[in-house]
Amino acid sequence: MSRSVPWRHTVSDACNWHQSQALESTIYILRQTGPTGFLLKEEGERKNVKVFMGDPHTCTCPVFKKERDLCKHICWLLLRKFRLSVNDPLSWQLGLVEREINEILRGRVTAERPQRQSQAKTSNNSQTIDGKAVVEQREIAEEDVCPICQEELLAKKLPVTYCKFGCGNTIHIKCMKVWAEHQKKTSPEGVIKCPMCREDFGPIDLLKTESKNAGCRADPPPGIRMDRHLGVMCSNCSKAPIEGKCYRCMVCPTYHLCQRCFNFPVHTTHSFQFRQKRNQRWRAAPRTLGSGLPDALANDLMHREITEDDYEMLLQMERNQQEELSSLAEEDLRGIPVERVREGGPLLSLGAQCRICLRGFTVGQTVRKLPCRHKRQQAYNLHMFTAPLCSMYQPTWYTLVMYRRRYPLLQKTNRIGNHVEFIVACVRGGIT
Amino acid sequence: MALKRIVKELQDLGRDPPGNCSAGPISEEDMFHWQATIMGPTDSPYSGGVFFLTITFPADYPFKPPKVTFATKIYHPNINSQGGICLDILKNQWSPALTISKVLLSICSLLTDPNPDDPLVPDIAKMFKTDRNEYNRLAKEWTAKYAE
Repeated sequence: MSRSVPWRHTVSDACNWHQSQALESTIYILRQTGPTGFLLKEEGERKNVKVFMGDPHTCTCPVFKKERDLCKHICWLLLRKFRLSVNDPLSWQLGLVEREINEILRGRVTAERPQRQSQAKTSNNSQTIDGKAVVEQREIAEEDVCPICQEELLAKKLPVTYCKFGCGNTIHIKCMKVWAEHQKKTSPEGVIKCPMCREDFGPIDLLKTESKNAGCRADPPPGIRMDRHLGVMCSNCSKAPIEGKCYRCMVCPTYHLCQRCFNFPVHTTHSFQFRQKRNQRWRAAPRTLGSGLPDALANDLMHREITEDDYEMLLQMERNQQEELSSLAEEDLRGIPVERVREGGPLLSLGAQCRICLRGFTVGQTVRKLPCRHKRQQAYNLHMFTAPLCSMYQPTWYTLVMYRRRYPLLQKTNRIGNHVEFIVACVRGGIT
Repeated sequence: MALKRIVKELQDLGRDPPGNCSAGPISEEDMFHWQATIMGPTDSPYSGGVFFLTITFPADYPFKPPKVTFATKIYHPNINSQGGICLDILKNQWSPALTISKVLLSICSLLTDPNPDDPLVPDIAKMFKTDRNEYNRLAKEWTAKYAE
């Protein structure tokens, strides 16, 4: 079969220019009018153009009509849609014969196929749930957010789950549970859909199991006031139970104070922790009575609005706290329990994940298990930072600060015990 | 949860504003009531118009869709005289992964491509299907009258 236009051995200047233009512009395919006919629209342009691939190619744009050489629309189709390389002679011909068109149409198909194969391969390797293949979790990038609460995943480090049968996107377990319950309420027999791809997200029980394995905190039963600290009496004024903020001494096991007494200079020799609600974590309570603020000033601050002039003082308080947070002995590192991930072990159960990089564990990995009395069985599992999977995670001081805020006294004492191990492991894992 | 997420969306809108639309709370105190504007898309008869919308977030946002209505009158087969919008993602196809910015973009594309097969105003849908020129003329007329 002969060509209506002669074969070109080199790319013409005009065509070369249009190719580079095509690679830079954003063009959409509005409609495919046939296997070789396309209705295109360029971003920012008013008029749509019709392109036909054939012998010769045609386009309805004025540039093509005037120059009688490939316009950027034809170039775009060849380079972007059919993925020809700019070095491929087919990409600069004025027309293509039947055989060549078949070739590029087939080429597009083969370009898609390896992708699908690789997907299938990964799902073969991993497990299946209810007979359905599970896709691999997508890599979590620095700026990725939970689609529901829109918080950065790697900044907040809450346990996550992912869409196992659809897109593999990561979502907080906590957020997904609310959405699943909401969907169940609105359509009791319907399936729970992934908020991203609308595929089946799996049964709600699966989510609950994951939540348990990942060590999420249980929600308090509704209707119970969580800011009444039942069974706790203020050791100074004998008010029981303490309401609102509850302060406890970090040395004397049964010494508690209410907000009012905490503002007075009682029991000043020890540091305190506080929590507002019973289900919250204990946090360090900076007490500036003895050290910085005189009683009168503290009282004054309590009973008026805080103004801009107080900023520096509050900053000072914060700084004191920060300094407290930055000294830790290296040798405390030793004796952190290390566990190897075994086939069939609990670390491989659904939802078990590293709380730093938010990914599941794989067999053979070394995991630091960080026990903490406050969490009871909910020990945190962390990959060793040196594990290859976690190489993406640069050990930062963030985790340290987070845990130290929770257990401030322990950094000072370096007492060997669960807490010390807990804190140290979070911090120093990256250095060992 | 709701308030936190709304504040987050407001920040994101400020950081990366979508083209042709804007949105924000009406007053500082009440984050649950927003006002939004959409510029009529250039390739539609609404081109040149500025359309105001009111957005009300439910208390259990983002698990329930926000209520979005047009405050500006518009001649469109999927938007009624009360400003109600017939858009699946604002009803049964809502997903918590959608944000106000994405919803506004969907409304923009609804302005460009009306959906006459699922109309809210059957008369306009019929006009759109049978006499496109007359539809375009009326839509332009309404845009000039109410949205400019």
